[in-house]
Amino acid sequence: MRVVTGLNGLIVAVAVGVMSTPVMAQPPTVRVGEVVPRDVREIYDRGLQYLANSQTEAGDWKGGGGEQGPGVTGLALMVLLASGEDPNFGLYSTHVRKALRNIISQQNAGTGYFGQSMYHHGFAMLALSEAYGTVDDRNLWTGSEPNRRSIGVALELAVRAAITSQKKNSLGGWRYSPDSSDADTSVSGAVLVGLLAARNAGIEVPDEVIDKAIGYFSSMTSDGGQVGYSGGFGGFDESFARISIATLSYAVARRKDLKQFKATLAYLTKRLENAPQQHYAEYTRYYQAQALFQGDVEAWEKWNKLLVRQLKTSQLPDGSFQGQFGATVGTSMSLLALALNYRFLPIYER
Amino acid sequence: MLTMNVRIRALGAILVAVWILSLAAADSAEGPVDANRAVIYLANIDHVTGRLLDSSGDGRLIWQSPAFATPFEFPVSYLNAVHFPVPGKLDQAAGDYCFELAGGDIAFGSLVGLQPDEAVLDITGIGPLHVDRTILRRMYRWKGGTEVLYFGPSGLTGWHASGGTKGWQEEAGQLVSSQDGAVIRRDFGIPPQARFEFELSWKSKADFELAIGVGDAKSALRAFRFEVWDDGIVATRETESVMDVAELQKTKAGVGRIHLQAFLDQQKGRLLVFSSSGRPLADLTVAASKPQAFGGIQLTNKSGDIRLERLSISRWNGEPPRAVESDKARIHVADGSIIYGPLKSYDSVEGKFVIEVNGAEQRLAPDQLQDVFFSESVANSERTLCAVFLNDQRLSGDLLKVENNAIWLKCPGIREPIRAPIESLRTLLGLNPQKTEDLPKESDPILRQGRLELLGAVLQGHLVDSAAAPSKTLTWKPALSSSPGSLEVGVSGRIVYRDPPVKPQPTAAEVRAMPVQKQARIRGTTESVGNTGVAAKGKQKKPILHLRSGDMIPCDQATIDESGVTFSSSITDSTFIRNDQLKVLELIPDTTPVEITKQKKERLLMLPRMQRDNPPTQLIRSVDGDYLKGRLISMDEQQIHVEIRLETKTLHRDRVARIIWLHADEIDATAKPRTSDDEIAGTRVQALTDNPQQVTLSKSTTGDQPGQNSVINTNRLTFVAQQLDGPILSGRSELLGACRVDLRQIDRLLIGIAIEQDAASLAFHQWKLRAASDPVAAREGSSDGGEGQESALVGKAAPEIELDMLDGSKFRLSARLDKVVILDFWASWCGPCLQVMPQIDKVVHEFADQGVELVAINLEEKDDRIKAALERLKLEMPVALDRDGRVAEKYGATAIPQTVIIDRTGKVARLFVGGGARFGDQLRTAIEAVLSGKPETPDEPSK
Repeated sequence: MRVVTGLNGLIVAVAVGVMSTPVMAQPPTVRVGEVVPRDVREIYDRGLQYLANSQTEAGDWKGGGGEQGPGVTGLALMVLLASGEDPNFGLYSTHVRKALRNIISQQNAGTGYFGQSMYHHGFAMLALSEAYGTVDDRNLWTGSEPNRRSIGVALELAVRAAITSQKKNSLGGWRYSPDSSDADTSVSGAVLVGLLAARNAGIEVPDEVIDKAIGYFSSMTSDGGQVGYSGGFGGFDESFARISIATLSYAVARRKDLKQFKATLAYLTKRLENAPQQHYAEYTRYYQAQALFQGDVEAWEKWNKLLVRQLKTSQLPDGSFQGQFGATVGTSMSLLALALNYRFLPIYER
Repeated sequence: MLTMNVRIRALGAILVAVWILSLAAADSAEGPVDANRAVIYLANIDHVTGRLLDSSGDGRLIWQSPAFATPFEFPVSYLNAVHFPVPGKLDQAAGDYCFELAGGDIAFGSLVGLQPDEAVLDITGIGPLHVDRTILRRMYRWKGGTEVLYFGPSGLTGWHASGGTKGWQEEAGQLVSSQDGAVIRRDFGIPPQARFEFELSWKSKADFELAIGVGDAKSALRAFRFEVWDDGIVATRETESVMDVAELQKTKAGVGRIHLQAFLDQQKGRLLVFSSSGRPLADLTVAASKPQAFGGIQLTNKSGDIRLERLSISRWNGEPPRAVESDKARIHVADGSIIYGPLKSYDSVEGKFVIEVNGAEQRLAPDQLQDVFFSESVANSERTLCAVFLNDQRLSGDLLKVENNAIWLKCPGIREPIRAPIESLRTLLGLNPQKTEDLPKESDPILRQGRLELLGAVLQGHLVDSAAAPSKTLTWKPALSSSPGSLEVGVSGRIVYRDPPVKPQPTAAEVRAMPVQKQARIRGTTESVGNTGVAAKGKQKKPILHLRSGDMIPCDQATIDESGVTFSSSITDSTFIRNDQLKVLELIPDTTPVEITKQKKERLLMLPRMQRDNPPTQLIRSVDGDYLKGRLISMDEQQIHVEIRLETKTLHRDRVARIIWLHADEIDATAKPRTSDDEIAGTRVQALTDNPQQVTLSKSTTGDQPGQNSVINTNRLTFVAQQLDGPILSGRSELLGACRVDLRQIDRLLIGIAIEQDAASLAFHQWKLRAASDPVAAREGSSDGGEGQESALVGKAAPEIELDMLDGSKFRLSARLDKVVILDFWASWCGPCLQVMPQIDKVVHEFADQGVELVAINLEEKDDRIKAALERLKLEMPVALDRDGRVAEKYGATAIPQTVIIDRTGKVARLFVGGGARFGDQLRTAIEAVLSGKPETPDEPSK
C-alpha cells in the first residue's frame, strides 16, 4: 500500500513549497521545470476559483450549461486534488468531500456502475482512484445518507463493474452502455485509464483485463500511429484525442515496448504544433498533455508552452473555459491538461 | 464581384461611399431605413452622409452628419441633391391618372374636379390639391404604373460607368459628362417592345451616342443608336449585313438640345422615332439575323459635353402611334380616335367630360378618355427644389420649411403647400445650384484650405482655430456651410492639403534600359527597402523603430521581451513600445537589399495550416539577407532568443539586420488593427509630408518651450491633437511628448484609424503573413458541389490506362471504347473513399445493361490489404492496380476519392473529387447526362 507514503509526500511538498512528485513506489525518473511559470499558476488559480464557486450544495456541478454527472464531478474533483492544496485540511477540503460523497452516492450498490454512461463511469473511477489514499475518508459521511461506502469499497465495486462490462464485449473494450457488445476507443480510453489508476492505487485488476483492453487499442492503431474510432477497420481520420488516449493507455499500462506505442507517440511528437481541432479541443488537450508527458517529457515541455499560450487567451474573465460539453468539463479538462506542470496527481507518475 | 469592381473604379470615391452605405442599408434588411443614411451632394464636389434636421425655411438646409457633433447649415442655392435611403421594396404609385405638370413635374392620383381655370387633383400620398389649369400639360390613364419602367434620371445610382472614374457627374439628378469617351450604362430590364422618351442637352457641341436595347458594350455596337453625324442627329442601326439611317434634327455649334420619343421593337428590329410633340421623324427596320432583346441603355459622350435631362421608359403594345397635329390640345379616346379641342370641364351631374370642339361641346364618359394633351400656354416659372418621390412622382417649388421629418414646398400654380414626408422621398434635387466659380472662397491665408475625407463625406474647407476654446476634437468648417462641425471622437479619415504626386509608370522600354537592380525593384523581385523619410545622415546609424502607425524613432540600446521593446532615444523620454504597435526594428538601418523572388517571398510569408493557431510573430533578417520566422522571446545586447517550432534558438545580435513584427490581424484582411484610439481622450492625428527632404516636423522638448524645439527629421508624426493656434496644430504623443506641426508645411493630416490604414501601404508593412488555403478534398461532397465539369481534363481524350487487375487479368482503357467507363481512384486508408465505394458500386450496377462499367483503381497498396478492404465492405468489383501511382498522376488524382466518367468516344465526360453521403445521387445524374449525350461543358459554366 502506498497510502501513507503518498500522503506524507504530498504534505511535505506543499509544506515546503517545493515542486516535487509525491514519494511513490517508483522514484521519478525525470525532474524538469523547477519552477512553475507564473502564467500557469494564474490560469490554474482562476479556473480553480470558478469550479470552487460553481459546485452545488449536493457536491456536483450543474452550471455551465453542459454535461453533468458522476464523470463530470470526477473531473472537477481531480482539479481540486491536483491543485496542491491539502485535500483533508486545505482550502478545498470541503469541496473535495462533497464531490466524493456525490459520486459515491450515485453508484449502484448491486452493479457498481456510476450510471449515465461508461464515460462517466471511467472518469468517476479515475477520480476515486486519485482520491484513494490521499483523502482521509474516515469521517467522509456525516449523516445517514444512503450508500455510505468508503472510497476503497466504492472503487472496488466500480472496478468490478468495468470488468463485468468488458466480459460482455467481444472486442475487449467498452462503449457507452455497460451492456454493449460494440466498442470505441474513446469510451474504452476513459474506462481503461480509470482501471489503470485503480490498479496503481492498489485495487486488484486482473492482468488479462488490461491485456485485453490493450489488445483492443493495438488492433485499432495503424502502423502510422493513427487510431480508429469504432469497429475494427477504416475511419482513420486524424484524431489527436484518440492517438493521445492510446499513447497514454500504453504508457500507464507499462507497455511502452509495443510498436503501437512508438507509432502513436511519434505521431504526436512530430506534430506538436498542430492545433487541436475545433471540436473537442479541451478533451484533446486533456489527453495530449498526459500522453506527451508520459511518452516524451522534452516534447511535452515544448508543447506545454503552446498550451499555456492557448489557455491564456481562451480563459474567460470568470476563470472558466467554454467547450461543447459546457463550462465545467471545459474548465476541468483545460486545467487538468495544465496540472502536469504541478504533477500532484498519482496518475501523472512516470 | 466583377460588376462591383467596375462600378467602383468607374464612379470613384463618391459613389463608393454611396455604395457602401447602400450596402449597409441592405444589410439591415426588413428593418426601417436608417435616417442617417441619406447623402447630401453640394454644388462643388462635396458630399456628406447624415440626415435633415428641422429648419424654418430661410433658404437653408440643416444637416446632421453622424461623424460630427454639431450640424451644418447649407444654403439651398448650394444644393445639388439629397439622396435618401431607398427601401428594398418599392410600391408602384396608385391612381387613376398620371398628371404631367409644368416644370417637368409628375403626379399620380384622381381627378376630383375640373373647371376652366382650375383642376382639383387628389394626389397619392399628398391629398387634394387645387391646381391652376395653366400648369396642366397632360393627363393620361395610369394603369397602376405597370406600363412605366423608369422615370428619371435621379442621380448616378444604378448606372455603371467605364472609361475614367470622373467621367460622369450628377447635377440636379441629371447625368452630366464633359469627358471625351465617357460611357455610362444601365440595365432597366427593357421588354422587347418598349417606348422611350428622352431629353439630351449640350453646351458646346453635340457629339454623343445613345444606344437603346443594350446588353454589354459589345452589343451596343449592334443596337439602335442615336448619334451625331456631321451636322445632324440621326437614328441608325448597323448589323453584320445591313444598316440604315435617318436624320432626325440638324445641329449647330454651341448650346443645343433634343427631345424625342422612340418606339423600339427588338424582335422585329424596328425603331419608330417621333418628336416630343408626336411628329413622326423616322421609321427604321434593320433586323438582326438572330434577334435578341437586351434590357439596357448606354450613353457615350464622344466629345464636348452631354447632359441626360430626362429619360422615361415604358412598355409598348407594338401598335404604332397615330399621327397627330402635335401642337394642338387634343384627347386620345379609348377607341383610338383623336378629338382636337381643349378639355373644358367635368360635368359631375352627368359624370362626363366636356370638350370644346370647333366651338361646340362634346361629352365623353371618363372610361373613354385615354390621354389628354393641354395646350402649353404659359412658360415654366423658376423653382429651386424638386422632390422626387419613391413612387416616381416629382413636384418642384421653393422650400417653406423642414419639420417633423417632412419637407414643405410651395409649388407655383398649386394653391396648397406640399408636404413631402422624407420617408416617401427618393431624392431632393437642387434645381439651380450655383456655378462653381460663384461659390464662396476663403481668403484668409492662415486658414489652410484642404479637403476633409471621411467614410461617407468629402468636405472642402478648413480646420477651425481652437486657441480660444480648447477642444478634445478637431472642428471643420466646410466652405459651403455657414456653420462648422466638431468631429466626433473616434472618427477616421484624412485632410488632404496637397494631393500626392502621381508617379508616371515607366514604359516597358524604359524598364529595360534601367540597371538590373532597379528593374528588379520595379518588378517587385528585390526586397523592398524600408520607409523613406528618416534622414539620419552620417556616422554610425542608429537602430530605428518603425511603428505600425508609420512613425519612426531612432533609438539606442533596444532590448526585447515578450511584451515589447525597451529602448532609449534622444527624441523621447519614453522607453517602451508594445508589440502590437511595432512593425520593424532596424538594428542595422539601410542594409543592402538582397534579391528575393516573388515566389520565395510568398513562401516565406505563407502561414502553414498547422500553425494557424500558433502563428510566428516575427521575421528576422540576417545581415546576409537570410530570413527566419519564429516567436521572439527576448533580445539583449548580445543575443536574440527565438522560439522556432516550439524550440528555443539563440542568435547573435550582431548578425541580425532587422526584426519584422508579424501581426495576427494582418492575416485576416477584415480584422481591425488595434490602436490606442479607445484608450485616449482626444483625436489621434498624423501629420504627413510626401517630401521629407524639404520639410521637417517638429516636436517640442519636454519643457514645452517654443524656443527649445527639437526637430525630428521624419515625414510622419502621430500625436493626439489638442489645439490649433493659427496654422500650428499642437498636441501630445504618448511616445514623443509635446508635438507641434505647421499645417502649411504638410500634405495630409490623417485622423484615427486611417493612420494605420495609410501606413499599411508602406514598404515594410508589406511583410505580412498569408494563410495557406484549405485543400479542396477536405470539404464534404464533390469539389464544389458542381456537376463534375470543372476539371481541365473534362472534354479531353482520357489518358490511356494499362494496368494489372487484382484478379490477374489486364485492363486497357482503349479496349473499352464501346463502354462508358467509371474510374474510381481509391485506397483502403482513405475513409471518404470507403464511404463512397458502396454508393458508386450500387449506382453503376443500375446502368449495367446500358454498357456502363466500373473500374476501381487502387493506389499503391498490396493485394492483401485491398482484398481485406473489399471483404470488409462486402464489395466485389474489378480493381486495377496502380502500383506506382502513374495513372493517378495522369488523371491529376492528387486528392481521393476521385471518380471519372469516360464516355463512349473515349473522352473524359465528368471528373469528381471528393465524396460524401449524397455522392451516389450526384453520380447517377451525371451518368444519365452522359448517356443522353449532354455536352461536357455548358456555354457558361455557372460558378
